[in-house]
Parts: sequence; C-alpha cells; structure tokens
Amino acid sequence: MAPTPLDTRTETEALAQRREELQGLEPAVVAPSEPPVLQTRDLSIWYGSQRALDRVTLDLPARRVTAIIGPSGCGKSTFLRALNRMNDLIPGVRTEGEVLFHGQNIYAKGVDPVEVRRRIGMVFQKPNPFPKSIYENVAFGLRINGYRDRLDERVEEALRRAALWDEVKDFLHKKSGLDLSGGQQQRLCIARALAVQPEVLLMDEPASALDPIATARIEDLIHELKEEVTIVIVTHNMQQAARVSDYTAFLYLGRLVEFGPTAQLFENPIRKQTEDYITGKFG
Amino acid sequence: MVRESYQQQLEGLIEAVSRMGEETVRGLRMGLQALRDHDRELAEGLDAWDDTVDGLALDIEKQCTDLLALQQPVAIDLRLILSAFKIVTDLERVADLAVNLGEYAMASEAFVLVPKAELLALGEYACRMLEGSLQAFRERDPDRAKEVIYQDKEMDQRCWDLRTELLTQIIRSARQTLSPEEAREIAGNVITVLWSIRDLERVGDHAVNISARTIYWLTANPEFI
Repeated sequence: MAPTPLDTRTETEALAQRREELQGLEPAVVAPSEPPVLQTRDLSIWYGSQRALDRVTLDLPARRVTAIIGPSGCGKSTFLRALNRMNDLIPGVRTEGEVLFHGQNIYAKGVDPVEVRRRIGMVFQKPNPFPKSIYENVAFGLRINGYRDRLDERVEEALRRAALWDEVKDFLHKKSGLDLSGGQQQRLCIARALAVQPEVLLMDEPASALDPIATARIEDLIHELKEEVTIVIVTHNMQQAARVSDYTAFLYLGRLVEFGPTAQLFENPIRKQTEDYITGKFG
Repeated sequence: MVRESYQQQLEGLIEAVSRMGEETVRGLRMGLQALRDHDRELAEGLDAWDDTVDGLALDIEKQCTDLLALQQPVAIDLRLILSAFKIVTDLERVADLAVNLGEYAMASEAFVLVPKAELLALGEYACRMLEGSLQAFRERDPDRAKEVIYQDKEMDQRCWDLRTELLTQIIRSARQTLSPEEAREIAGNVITVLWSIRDLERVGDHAVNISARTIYWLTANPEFI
C-alpha cells in the first residue's frame, strides 16, 4: 500500500480551511427528550472587538449532565460563564442574545445577578476554599444568602451531598479548608455551592487539577448529583465528557457544531468536524 | 468504590450476557423437545424466539460499544467487554442451531436406525456443557470453564460413536430388500440424525469458546481461545 502523503499545510492554512468549512453550516442538534431548564438563544459574546461566541442556541435538559467540549479557545468557558452572568465581572465583555432560565432571560433588566448565581452555582477549575474552617467554608455562602436558622443541619447536608461528610465530620471546626487534599478541597467547594440549594451547577474543568482517584470521586459525585441538580460541565478531557455526561455539545471557533446524546456524539457523530476532533485529527 | 456507575454498567453487562445465555439454553431445550415429540407447533415457534435472541445480542453489543466509546475500559474490564462481544456471537449461533433442531423435527418423525433416546442424550450433554460455560462466566470461575473445555473430548467421542452406529445400521440395512418408500424414509431419517449430531457437536464447540473467553477475561490467558 502506498504511504499517505505528508500533510504539508501549515496550521494556519488548516485552521483557515476549517473556518471556511464552518461557514454557513447549521449546528447538528438532536433535541433532548427532557424539558430544558436553561436555554440559550443566539448567544454571542465579545471580548472587546473579538467575538468569542457566535450565535449559540442550545437547550440544556433538567437533571442531566451536559458536557461542553472543544479545543482551547473555542468558547466553552465563555459559554459556561454566560449561563450565570459570571462574564459580567470581566471588563470589556459584551453579550448579545438570551439566556433563559425557566423561560426568563437572566440578562433582562431588573434581574439580580447575585440571585441568578445562587440558583445557578459554579465550581471552578482550581479549588478555592476560604482560609477558614471547613464548617465556615460551607456556612459562609448560607449566611450571605440570608440563611440564619438550622445552619449546622444545612452544612452537614451539603457536605453529605458532596460526599465529604464522613471524611471531615470529626474536625469541622478544627481544620481549615486549606488543610484538605486537592480532591477534598474541590468537594468542599462543591458542598459550598450546593449549600444554597442551586438548581443548576456549572463546573469549569472541575477535575483538571486532581489525580485520577480524586477525579474518579468527583465524577461519581457528578453522577449522584444529577438526580437533583442540572449539571453543565466544561472539560478539555474528552474521555471525561464521555464518562460523566448524558449530552454533549461540541463548540469550535465560537460556534456550536453539534449537540446530542453523548453516546451518539462519541459513537456516530453527525458532523465531520466533530468526528475529526474526537478522533484527535485536530485540536 | 470509585467509578461506581461504571462498575454497575460492567455488572449489568455480565447480567445481560447471563440472561441471554439462560434464554439460549431454554431455546436449545425447546429444539430438543420438538425433536423428541415431533412437535410442529413448538418447532415453528422457534423462529420468532430466535428473533428475540438476536435482539438481546444487539442490545448487548450496544452496551459493549457504549462502554468502549465512553468509559475507556482497561485490563480486566477491557477483557470482559471483548469477551462479552465474542460470547454473544457464540450464543446467537447456538440459538440458530436450536432453530435447526426444530426444522429437523418437522422433517422426520420416526427414528428408524438409531434410538431417539441416544440423540436426546447427546443433546442433554450439549446443554450441560453450555450451562457449565455460562455458570463459569456468571460466577467468574476459570476452573469451571476448564472443566467444560475438557468435556468437549467426551462430546466429540459421543458424536463419533453415534455416527458410527448410524453408519453401521445403514450398511446392515443395505443388505435388506427395501421398498423405495422404506429406503426414502431411512434416507430422510439418516440426514436428520446426522445433521442433528453435527449441530449438537457445534453447541459443544460454542460452549468451549464461551469457556475460553471466560478464562481469558479472568486470567488474561489466551491459551484456550
């Protein structure tokens, strides 16, 4: 068999060609059977003059895990932060389109972004516990959000839901959140987010700084939490997306290329671009 | 335990293969019963039953595909999935052989040259081999799997003996003066018996394959494959 000729295109040329292929290409969307809790409608986001997200329309199903995948710079973290108005905190960001939470646009006038973030919580790539006791880490968010009664009970419940209670119950007030291992710190942050009873949990690369066992614990936790919370997870780790999610969205160059059930997207993607990405031909 | 959902999916795969195995044994016994009783209705029902088994096989293949594509299995987990893929094909073939037995049952009622009981005893031996291989898989028992592999020698010998007996009877009957109708009846019956022996021998071979795959899954030893 003759050897395959070497690809002599430069990366820039290849990128230009892929950009051209995307032009005029409608996203391939297999609509979820579950009702949506969050919906984006023609969502576009600019950092200054640079467009990071290009008219993304997507329904995120309730009590399911949706993974957002794509190469670096494709807009997946920008998309995630738009879902609870975290981009508002970044100077120079402009948002167009709508994000509907139970049908209500969270960017509409009069909507309180703090209330939005209480109901749509977030966990970040790097665990960021406060330099306070484990108990206070969880109770902090509760107090800020006006919870005054049954604090002990609420803290315990949040730690239990984050699968951390058994590991920390004996030194809740004695140890700082910073004394925990990386994986425990991340579960503490998840407990902190869960304490205020969010309906949606946004996770931005929640396990990328963790070892395989701690990663597996977080993935197990995601699986358990979806019984009660809608989860949207951004990950650069395609295998993780495949393992933990029910639905997957593939973003590329700021555009939604494909969205559908995870098994379908990884076994029989509709778009060639999706197939090329998940099989490692670019990215 | 970490990756609990994944572990549950693997357990689910073992259960699904075991269930398909039980169903296949049930069908094989129906085929033998149709042969024993010349039960046309039972034999005809095997076609629809075979479609059900094919459906089970497809479901299990989808489970395997999902696990491979989504969970990145390695080591013993990977071997389980690869083995399940192959075992399902063996079971699906055994189901086809059960349908064949039903067809032979319709083709020939009388057993002229060899007693039906001998063929049915061979069928029972094949069923037990298949059950043994499925037990080894379900109970993760490589020693039980080896027992089944060693039983195949006995199975082959029984098949050989029965064929020899049949041919002996053919030669003996050739010395008799037979009417064309009698000769045709004997020929039809000989074909039925020979094909039944061949198919039961194959059931034994599939039981060996299932056992070999079980050993490979549990020990990584490909010796018996």
